[in-house]
Amino acid sequence: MVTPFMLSPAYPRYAPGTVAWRIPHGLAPVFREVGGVTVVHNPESGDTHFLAPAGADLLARLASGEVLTVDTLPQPEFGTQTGSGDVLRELHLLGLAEPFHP
Amino acid sequence: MTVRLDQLPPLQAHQRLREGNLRLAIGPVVVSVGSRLGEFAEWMLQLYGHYPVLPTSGFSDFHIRLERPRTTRRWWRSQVCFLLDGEEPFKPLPLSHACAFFEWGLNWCIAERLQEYVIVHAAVVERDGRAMVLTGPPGAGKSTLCAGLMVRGWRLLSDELALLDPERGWIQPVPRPVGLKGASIEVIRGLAPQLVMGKPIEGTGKGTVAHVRAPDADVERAHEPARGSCIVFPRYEAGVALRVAVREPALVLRGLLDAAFNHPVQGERAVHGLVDLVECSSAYDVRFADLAKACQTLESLVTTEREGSRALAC
Repeated sequence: MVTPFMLSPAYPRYAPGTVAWRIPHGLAPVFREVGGVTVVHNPESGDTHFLAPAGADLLARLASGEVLTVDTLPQPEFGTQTGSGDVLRELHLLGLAEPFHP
Repeated sequence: MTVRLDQLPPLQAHQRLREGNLRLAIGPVVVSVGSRLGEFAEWMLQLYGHYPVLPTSGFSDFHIRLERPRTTRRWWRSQVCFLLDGEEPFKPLPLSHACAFFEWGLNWCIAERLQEYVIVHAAVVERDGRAMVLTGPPGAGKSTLCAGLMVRGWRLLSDELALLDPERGWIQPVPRPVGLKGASIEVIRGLAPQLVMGKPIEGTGKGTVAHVRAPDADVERAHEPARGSCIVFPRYEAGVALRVAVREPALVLRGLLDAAFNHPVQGERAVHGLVDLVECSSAYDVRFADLAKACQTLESLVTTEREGSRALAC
């Protein structure tokens, strides 16, 4: 059963593995590299964002049509504060990724 | 043959201004100006006298009129209205602010309508085909630095709006009077008493403002674009020692995106255009109090870079 909580962007932080992530339908973000930083433009919202390498890698995978699940996400390194779930949640808030139940 | 405004017989110039068909070519735009305000007419002749006047018939990008309102404020605490194509996009201002109102209104028209360019809030000067973009928030010292460099022989491309052609990577000149505020008026007057400056306008929303006439040669070369090669983020602070620091490319882009008026409208085009500009430019944060020293340092930085790139080309 899908509950409203499971559909919230916060859900995968608490129950990884049950939600997959994909690029929103029809979205074709524009990437550019500037001084080692990835700049991504969201043509839907008209916003431009600066992404850390982790976010840029994940977004590039999503943009290539890949569906990301907990099994295909890079595991957080020991001692790091930010896991892939957090990065994807941030991408979701920017309108660059969406969770769904496969 | 192109006729300049100051080559028209004064009676004809005033008549065309009254009738609203004084069509001036200002860089890439044609502006039809109209007004019955005598003081504004004198100011136009003083600061726009060297601009090409086009025949009365033809397409104009903007039809601007500055007139007194048709209310009691026509006589009592007189005001002036800015009319664009017959509409009034702004609230009236005191009559004494008419000249500044024209400049601010025209800035708005260009920023609002010239969507073929990526428009950045910046002053731009050029030397040897290499443009220097001076950007930052209001009061940062863009216009003061721009006027200082202009006095030292740099060509004025724009004082307020950098028009970037993202496909060609050019900056299109739109040379217009340089707007100075507060203390910078006296600084520039002291630095170059030969410059033609309009009467200071007091009590505006930006304090006292005055406009410096764009050099004749720069107006004549208004159809010669230049490539960006240096981006400067000035910050004027009274009493500080000059400090120049290299800015990281990502931060340069952040600054340009913040200063770009139409980046969300232009979207991908703006991102590519601005990233290309960042990639081919050096960029500096300049904190200054002494204008002459700041101009000299920027000049020597640009000269060093130019010689460096020549050496690489050899």
